[in-house]
Amino acid sequence: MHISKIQQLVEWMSKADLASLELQSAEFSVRLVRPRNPLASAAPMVVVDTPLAAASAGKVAAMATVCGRFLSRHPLRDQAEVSPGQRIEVGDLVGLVSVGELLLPVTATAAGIAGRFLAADQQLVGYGTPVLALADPH
Amino acid sequence: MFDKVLIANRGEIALRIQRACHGLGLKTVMVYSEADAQASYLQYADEALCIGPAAPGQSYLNQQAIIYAAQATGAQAIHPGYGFLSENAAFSERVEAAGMTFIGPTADCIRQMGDKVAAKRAMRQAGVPCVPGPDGALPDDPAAIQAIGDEIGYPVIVKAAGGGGGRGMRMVECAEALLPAVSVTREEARRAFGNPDLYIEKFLGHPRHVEIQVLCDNHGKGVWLGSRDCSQQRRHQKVLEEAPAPGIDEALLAAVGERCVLACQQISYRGVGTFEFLYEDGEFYFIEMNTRLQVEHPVTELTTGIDIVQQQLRMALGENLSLAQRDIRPHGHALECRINAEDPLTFIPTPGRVTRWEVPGGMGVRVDSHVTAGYQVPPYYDSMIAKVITHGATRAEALARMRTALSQLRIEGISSNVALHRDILQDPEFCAGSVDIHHLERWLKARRDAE
Repeated sequence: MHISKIQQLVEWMSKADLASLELQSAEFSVRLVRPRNPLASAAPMVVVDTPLAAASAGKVAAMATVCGRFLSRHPLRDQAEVSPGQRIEVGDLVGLVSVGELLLPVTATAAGIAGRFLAADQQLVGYGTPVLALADPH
Repeated sequence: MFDKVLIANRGEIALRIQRACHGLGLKTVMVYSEADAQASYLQYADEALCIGPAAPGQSYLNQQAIIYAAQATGAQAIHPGYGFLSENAAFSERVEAAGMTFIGPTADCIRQMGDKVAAKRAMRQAGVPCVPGPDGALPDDPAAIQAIGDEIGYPVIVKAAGGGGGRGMRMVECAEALLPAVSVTREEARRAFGNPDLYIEKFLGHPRHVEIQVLCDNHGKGVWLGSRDCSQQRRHQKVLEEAPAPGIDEALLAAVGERCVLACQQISYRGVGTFEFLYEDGEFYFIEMNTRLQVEHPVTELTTGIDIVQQQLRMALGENLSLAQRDIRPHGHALECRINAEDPLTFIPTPGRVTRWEVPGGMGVRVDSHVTAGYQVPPYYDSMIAKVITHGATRAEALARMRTALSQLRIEGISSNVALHRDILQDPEFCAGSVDIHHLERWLKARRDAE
């Protein structure tokens, strides 16, 4: 593995909000550790063009973009990534999709107040499956 | 071994594969794009998952999304159908690397047959007859190229090694036109296929397209399942196919069929495949091998009585081929009309909602389709909406059944090419059998000129 790949790994870790990552192969081993609660503002802002979310009258805060099992919290954490009533911004991590040995981030596609989860933990989700609602402002 | 198959395709072939899986007691996972989310055939799968937006690159061609879907659902095998990822060696490799079974040949086989120069060399080694011309890539030296052209004799055809299906080829009528044609085609090949290698062959003036279906297990055993004639083509797209190819000497066909099986054994081929030939003046000339299930497989199923997709699944499960060549006894004749959502005169696709959908039935009539009344034909994919297949004891009977079947096929809400098929079935030359690959284009031109 070329050293330049480490930066990509850090970006993925950061996006998935992982605390640590270990990678081993015959030729090398890498161990990366991040502080447990990095500043919220450090999370990169991601603007995602999602016509489907727009079509749902803005009620969906986040949807899955890959097939897998939905998780509202990282297996190593005690709490869900977001709680109902919490303010969320576009690009915030709101859950994960587990597929094989991977955990992939699910990020908010709309800003507002988080509502209820639309997918249960361990539920099979696919592209476009809504996982989190926005709370009704009224 | 596997007991759950992910079907990485859409439309009629997804449904066809799903039926074959259930017939063998295998569970199915269908993946679909947002554009296909409302399709009713998805309900027949044990599980159905959306993998991406309408654009094929983000859904049916999205290798990562398909592999995730298989892992998420616990599918241990992936059937690619035809088109999309079916002849993608890298995908085959990725599926196997993920610990799953790719229902098709190995990546090496796909790669070798995908390179037309390598394929031709392999066929020559197995004694499969090929089009006259060297079985190596063209050199760079203009004098050497000119010498090869002169030796073959004009007209010749310049082809891209990475091409196929009518793409990346150019006909050359005389020696002076050869070098300019080579340089233009080389540039096109570099851009379109990422492979600038070219080869040249004798150009055949009035060939038929005749192909041979093979079926091989993973233990060195194989059979050929008779011939098909797919000469009715428009812009290199097959319109109407039949089995067997009419008027070909059986001993000659058997000799070529045996060579095809031998070639499969030499390249360690597994599963189903098709050897495509040009056939002219009593001679076969290999053009390419398709390393996948083909659209027109049902005509061979009706003449041989063999469920080709089930056999393909059995071979992928590692079973020994239970059929011997003497068990393959094609009987009668079968035809297939590809019904497309397109204007019958202009051939422009006509996506939209199907408001009425009534399909024919009866003795010797089979309709493979995913369409139901109310179905929305999406604009993003191939326009084929059904295959009407008929079988009869003779070609005349199969033709008569097809005429009746098409007269009872009712499609409203969108235009289809049914009218074109009805006209073709009245064409005396086609009805007499053995028209060449240019016949349909000539017939269409004559019809346009007459208007």
